[in-house]
Amino acid sequence: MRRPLAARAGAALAAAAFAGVALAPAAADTAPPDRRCLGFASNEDARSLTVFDACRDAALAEIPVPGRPRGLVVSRDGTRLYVALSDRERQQQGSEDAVLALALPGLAEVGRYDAGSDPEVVDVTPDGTRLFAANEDAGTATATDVASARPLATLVVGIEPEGVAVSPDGRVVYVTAETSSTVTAIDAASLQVVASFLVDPRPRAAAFSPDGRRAFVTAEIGGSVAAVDAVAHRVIGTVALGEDAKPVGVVVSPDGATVYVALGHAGRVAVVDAAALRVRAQVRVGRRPWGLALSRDGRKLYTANGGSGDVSVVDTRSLQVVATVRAAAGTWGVALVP
Amino acid sequence: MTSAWTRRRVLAAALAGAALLARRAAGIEARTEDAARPTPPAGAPGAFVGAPGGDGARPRIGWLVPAAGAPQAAEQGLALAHEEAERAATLLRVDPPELVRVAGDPAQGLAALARAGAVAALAAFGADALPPAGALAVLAVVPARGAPAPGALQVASSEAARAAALAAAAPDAFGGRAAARAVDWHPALVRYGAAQLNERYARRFGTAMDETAWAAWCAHKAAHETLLRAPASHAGAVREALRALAFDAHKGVPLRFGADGALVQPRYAVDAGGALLGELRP
Repeated sequence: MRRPLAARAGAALAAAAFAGVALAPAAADTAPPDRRCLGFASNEDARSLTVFDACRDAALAEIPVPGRPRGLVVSRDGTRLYVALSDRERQQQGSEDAVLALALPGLAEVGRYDAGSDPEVVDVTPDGTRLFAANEDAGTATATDVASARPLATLVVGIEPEGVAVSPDGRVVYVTAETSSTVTAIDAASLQVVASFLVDPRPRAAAFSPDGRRAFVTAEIGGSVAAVDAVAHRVIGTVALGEDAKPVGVVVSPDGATVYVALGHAGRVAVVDAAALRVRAQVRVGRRPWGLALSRDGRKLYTANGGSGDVSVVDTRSLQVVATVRAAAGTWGVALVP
Repeated sequence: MTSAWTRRRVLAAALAGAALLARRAAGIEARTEDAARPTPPAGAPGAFVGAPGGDGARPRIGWLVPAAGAPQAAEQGLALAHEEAERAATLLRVDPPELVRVAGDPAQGLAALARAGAVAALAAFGADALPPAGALAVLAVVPARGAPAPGALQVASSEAARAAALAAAAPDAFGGRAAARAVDWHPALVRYGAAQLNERYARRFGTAMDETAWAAWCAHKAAHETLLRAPASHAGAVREALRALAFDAHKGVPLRFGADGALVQPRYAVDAGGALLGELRP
């Protein structure tokens, strides 16, 4: 499985990004992008990754992947893209269930990690040594050593786990669980569960503030985002996001002042004041925004829109959509090189 | 800004506290910590089955079943929910719930559960077969065919509610396929985590989750989530908190009990062969 993907991915990106060859359906851009300009979107239904230039907000290539891609994250040093892939059989572990590691910028496959059944979201420690993935079906979170690809621990978390977020200092990992409406905090070094707490119904994603003292957890059925004391692991406030809101993805601005929440079927992103815990604005984007990413300067917000199969680019000062990057069916997540 | 959810939680907690104070003032507070082991209701054959040796600290949820027993699907749905509640409680480092099973006459059974210190009861009866609600919240997991008892909470849709849901669907709602019945759950459901719940159940019991199994699972989830979010040892307080609860049961919307005690929930149209046709929004 490694060689074909590496060949396809590497060839596809090289062709599209560096030789100006268009790969349908993404539009080609002729200039080779700087590595720090690369962005990626996962397309769950199309079983592909869209590679885009996040400096010019233009699609570069669409690359098939062997499975249903959902969560994706770029390592802090910008050298690896990790993609959670699930099998066609959603509740059974199969040959396609894995986390792929792709080297940047060429996207050659450099690792394939067994992350349990149906890995949905993945995150990596800041030093790049450990991967954490949620296994929705098994009700566990898996920690894996990146260098050896050896599973380090499988931890029991809440029921139907989904979101995974590693704190900026790499000390703690939050794993959300949809059925039990819980968040479990894992010590990333000792690989022990240190706390669990309740949030509003059906928590989806978690994101830490840059200083690691706060975390924000979305609740899809609760229609809210919880602010969490990420030292004491307790909820300190909850922000309602509207009757039609189905909060999913969440990111925090580099200055920690603003939280952006994708509202799913509501077709909007909520802009939340992180200190006052109130909604400052809502921005209409593509259909069913799910995953979110911010540019390193916080000036641009990217939303993966599953319903419209594209990525909206929002200017975070004007709160206007300034570009739309075409992706493919079922766009789920988006990640940028830090 | 606080969410509607949080406001409801605060309201539930306030109601719970007020009810508890009122009970204490009246000297009629139920003391779950001192609850004796439940005794069989008089005349109920094979009445008390479970929860021997309760230590009194764990919140007790009653399971009221007919003398002849509950449908197997209901038993299984309940078992899955109970296992999941135990797991959640363990994670949250709170006392896991204790399930107290009583079989026989509903009125006598509920009285026995109240004596046993249960803070809520799940009933394998239709809401029309239950006595008028007392302080104990009772969640019916079997469809009512007649008028429900006052105050009963109905997880399973009544036959009247099903008929109304079908009647409200557009004639061409299912691409020309004729809808024969509305159900509360279907093993072919996928969205909103339904596939995951269906799979957990199928893996646990080797059979598909039908609406009876889902209703029992849902009732237990609602009861336990109430205990987690608005901890109270008094049945009346739990009842008020349960009425204020909005929770997730894999239907894509928050579920709540309406003023008539019926769960406001999406239902699903099936054809004469039981195949899933589509969703019926409330």
